[in-house]
Amino acid sequence: MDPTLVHVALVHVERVSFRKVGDRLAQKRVFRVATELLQNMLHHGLPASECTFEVRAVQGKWTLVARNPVPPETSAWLQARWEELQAHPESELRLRERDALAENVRSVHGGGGLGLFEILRRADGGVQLDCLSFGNGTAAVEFTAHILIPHE
Amino acid sequence: MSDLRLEGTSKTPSVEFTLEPMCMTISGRSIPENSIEFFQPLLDWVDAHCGVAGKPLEVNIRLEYFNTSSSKCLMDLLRRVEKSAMTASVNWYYESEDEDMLEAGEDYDAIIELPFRLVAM
Repeated sequence: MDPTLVHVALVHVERVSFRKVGDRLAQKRVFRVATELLQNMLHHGLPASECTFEVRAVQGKWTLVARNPVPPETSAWLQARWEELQAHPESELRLRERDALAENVRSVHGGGGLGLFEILRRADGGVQLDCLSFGNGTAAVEFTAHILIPHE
Repeated sequence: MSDLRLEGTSKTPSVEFTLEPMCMTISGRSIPENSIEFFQPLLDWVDAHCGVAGKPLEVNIRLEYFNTSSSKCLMDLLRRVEKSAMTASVNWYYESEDEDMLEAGEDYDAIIELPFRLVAM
């Protein structure tokens, strides 16, 4: 995934959400979730692979879909990590994210496993992760986040 | 000895670190692909200029958005300030009703042992 494309996608999401979402805080939340989904795609996608990022806005519900090929071991790790995080209530997730922030652990990209927390928490839990195995040693992950816009 | 000033962009925050008065202000948005690269000069500035024991230092954070890799870098920056000899305090500004940014400020406040003021704008 090319960082320039990530930037183009983010600018597009920001412009469209700014135009279509009346509630400024909801608009910021759409942008935040898009930022983390695209960052995740950039950092974990296979180099030079085909990635897909879709944004749909229908009757007060924004749906963001990010799909990218990953090594099979990354897919398995993500699925296990995701299931572990989803098992916790929001209040506990927040404390765990705070612990992860405080740890001196960093990934090569500068994060430290915080992205999954943010994707899950900023979309109020309305996120689905599908891990797709193609059976030939290749895999992909697809995040689908739903964000409800109040009063729309 | 010099001030550090960086213009903000659509991906990176504006930075204004000054010696007289000792003040560090970061504002705007921080969503660069490589946050470590962006924050390194800021960390270097703290290392170079925050060694005067007891001297007051004001840190102002006025971020609209930041990605999770920036949040780790921000933690590094605040930790350096915390460990420095300066008498530092942090003002964390957030848009009124923006619970996400308020929560983020509360989290840093809980981790960093510096006087922290959460300021709604």
